[in-house]
Amino acid sequence: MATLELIVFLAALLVCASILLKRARWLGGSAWASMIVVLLAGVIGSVIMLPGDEDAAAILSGQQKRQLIAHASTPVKQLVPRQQPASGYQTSDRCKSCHPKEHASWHQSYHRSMTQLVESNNVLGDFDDRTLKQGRFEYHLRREGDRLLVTMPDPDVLLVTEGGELVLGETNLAGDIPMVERPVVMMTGSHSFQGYWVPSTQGLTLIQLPWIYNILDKRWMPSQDAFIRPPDGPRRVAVWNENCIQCHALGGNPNEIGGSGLLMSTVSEMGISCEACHGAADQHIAFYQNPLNRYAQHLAGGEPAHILNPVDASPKVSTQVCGQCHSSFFPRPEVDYMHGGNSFRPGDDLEKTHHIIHYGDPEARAASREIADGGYWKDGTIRVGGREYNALVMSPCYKKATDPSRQMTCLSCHQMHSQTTGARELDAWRDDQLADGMRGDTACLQCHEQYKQNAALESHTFHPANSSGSRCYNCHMPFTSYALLKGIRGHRVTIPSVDASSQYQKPNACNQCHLDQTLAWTADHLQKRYQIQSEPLGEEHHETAASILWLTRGDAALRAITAWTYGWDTARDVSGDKWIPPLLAQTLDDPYSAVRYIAHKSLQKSIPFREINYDYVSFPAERQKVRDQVMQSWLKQQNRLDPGRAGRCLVLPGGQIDQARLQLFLDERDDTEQTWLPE
Amino acid sequence: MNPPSRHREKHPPVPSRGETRLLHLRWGWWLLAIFGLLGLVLDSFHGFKKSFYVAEDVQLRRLLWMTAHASGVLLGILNIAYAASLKRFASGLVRIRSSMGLVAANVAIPSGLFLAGLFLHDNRPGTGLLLFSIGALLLLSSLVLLAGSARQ
Repeated sequence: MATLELIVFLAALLVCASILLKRARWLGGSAWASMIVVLLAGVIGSVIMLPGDEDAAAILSGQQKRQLIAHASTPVKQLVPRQQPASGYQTSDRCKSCHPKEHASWHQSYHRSMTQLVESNNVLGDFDDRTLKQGRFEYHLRREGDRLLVTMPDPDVLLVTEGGELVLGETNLAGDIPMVERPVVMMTGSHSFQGYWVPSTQGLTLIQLPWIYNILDKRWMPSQDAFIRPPDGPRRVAVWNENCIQCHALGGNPNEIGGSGLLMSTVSEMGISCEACHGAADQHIAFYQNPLNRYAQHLAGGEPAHILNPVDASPKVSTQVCGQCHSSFFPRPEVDYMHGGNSFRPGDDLEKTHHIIHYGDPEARAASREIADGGYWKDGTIRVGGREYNALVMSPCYKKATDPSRQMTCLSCHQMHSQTTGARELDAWRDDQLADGMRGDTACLQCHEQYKQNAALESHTFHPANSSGSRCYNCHMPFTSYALLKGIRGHRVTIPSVDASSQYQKPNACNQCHLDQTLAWTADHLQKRYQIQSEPLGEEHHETAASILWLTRGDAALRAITAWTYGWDTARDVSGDKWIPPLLAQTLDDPYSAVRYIAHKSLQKSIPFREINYDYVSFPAERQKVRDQVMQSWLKQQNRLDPGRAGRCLVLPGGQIDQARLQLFLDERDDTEQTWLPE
Repeated sequence: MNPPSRHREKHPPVPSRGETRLLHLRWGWWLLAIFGLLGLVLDSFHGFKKSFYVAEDVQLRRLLWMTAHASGVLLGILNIAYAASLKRFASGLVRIRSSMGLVAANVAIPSGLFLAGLFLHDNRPGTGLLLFSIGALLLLSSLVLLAGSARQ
């Protein structure tokens, strides 16, 4: 290409030179003839150049790949799965010329930046000569021009040695792991966290740098401490090409060579782009490239041809478009995912390509008990954020709707293309892509119009119309999901249930707001106000606030969500916050990193503890020291509560914490190992 | 009547004012025709949504080719204006130099822009931009010469 350009350039230059060197009489015919020659050469050049495809990726030996990785001038593109539009995908660039507004709003979304190649302006992590220590391993991060480099234990050795499961520490790995320098070539995320990937010497495999950059906190976190992981469990060496590729890129194909484990992966486009939701656009583009078809469509109106618009699709189809990624699933065996990627296309029946995992699913259990069980409350509700499809399809608003126009879908509340242009509004929209007004009751009032009147609303909620207790979400979509170190609203629309709390250890909406109240109190109110009967409750549920039992006796997921609720401003306003610090202080020494992190964040909501010097990944002795300091400090503040609340909240009449009861609950902590699905 | 010379002249005769005028009229109308046609071609690229012209990553190509089209048309008009106003300007060396500069710019400016758009390098213009710069300098030189000549 460079040679062709040079030839054409020199030809044009020669024509100009000849004009200047010759006499004007000579110029007339030959100069413009020469110009036409140059233009023709350009046209011919364009024909040769423009449709050019990238060469197919060659399979390099480990040594060749090592040399390629080591070479400073190797473009990042050569070290990641090949980007080559396939299976009818055309990529977002081609959509822009006809749909510039939609392209622009998508471009603002976190969907677009879910997967990005490293460039000079999109890296959020601090790579300025940082050294990070994890167990006995050390990682040194640095920049060299636009390149990001990490000196780290050879990831290929770790991957092979431990089969993807690595125990960091003193014992597990025999012998020394050689240190190597690898370029960071790709990133995941740009909203809460950013994760980083380095190339393997095998095929086009990408291996995760075991450090996550927390964007809000501006700090590095060991990846196993950024998610709910068992404190002493194995550390996984994550490979992007196996699972992430199917949802974090368009048309991802692991492309395993035979059964060798060698991955020569391909994607049509990095990130979640237009065709992930609208389907492959080849026929659509071919059809509308003809201006006559465009004008015919313009005049006749109706649905655009050869493309799916989820907004206009049936509720089931529309929901399944989102569910292709926002569900807990594994590809059906007949899909042959490892060799061809997932073949689901918007408009298809999701169940044909995706095995949607339900609680206790025997097929899923055969593969992984932790996936089949760990990600769910025992009533079958998913509790992992980002998997809302599983929850939505269990909601009565979806399941029981008889009128399709009133059946709840993701797009009842969410909007993938924002209509707003203001920077602040756009930023708010990007956060969860909710449509205008859908943060409030409007979402539910679309169908439940009877509650538009305050009187009707108050008679339904038994709370003042303008209070948090009258907000639909707070009662019917409480925080029953967890992801990314925070509580997330569950998308299974439910009514508050004491039985779900007492029998399935699932938090209920009433006690998530009334943190200082017992489950018995909730049962009593539900019975009196709504005639909802509950099963008899144990003694502790009459004496101790439900949230305290969740925080102390619950499993890691329940503790994490409850610790987050302790920092939820609405609940703190309702329940008072004077009694909260000692309970969160106790949680600063929880065995699970994620729970400790959240407890610290919630504790900082109390002004006296805003600046406490605590690191959730510090050694236990240091954590316990901070815990004791917070306890002492809280005692000095002479927190007086009314006797009823004090008793429920483990505060003794003298203002001390009831350590005996607290310890009793801690001894009953559910230590079932929690290993979550990717959040 | 003298027989035609069989020997090539060492220095071809200096074109007359009329010949120069005719030359630039031809250049002008042909430039208008060719780059008017290029505009139509570009419009058809747009109409048929050719990805090499409308895609997100080739917006610079679109800009450069549109500029090539516009500059070709403008140069056509300039050549006609030049031809029309030639009798007002000094004859001799200034006329020849300005004419040669303008003709070279006729080639270098639009083709330079076209080539710069054809061979993009990661959203940077191709080497053709150098040709455009040379053409722009020649054009400017011609204009300065003409302006000076008109003052005399």
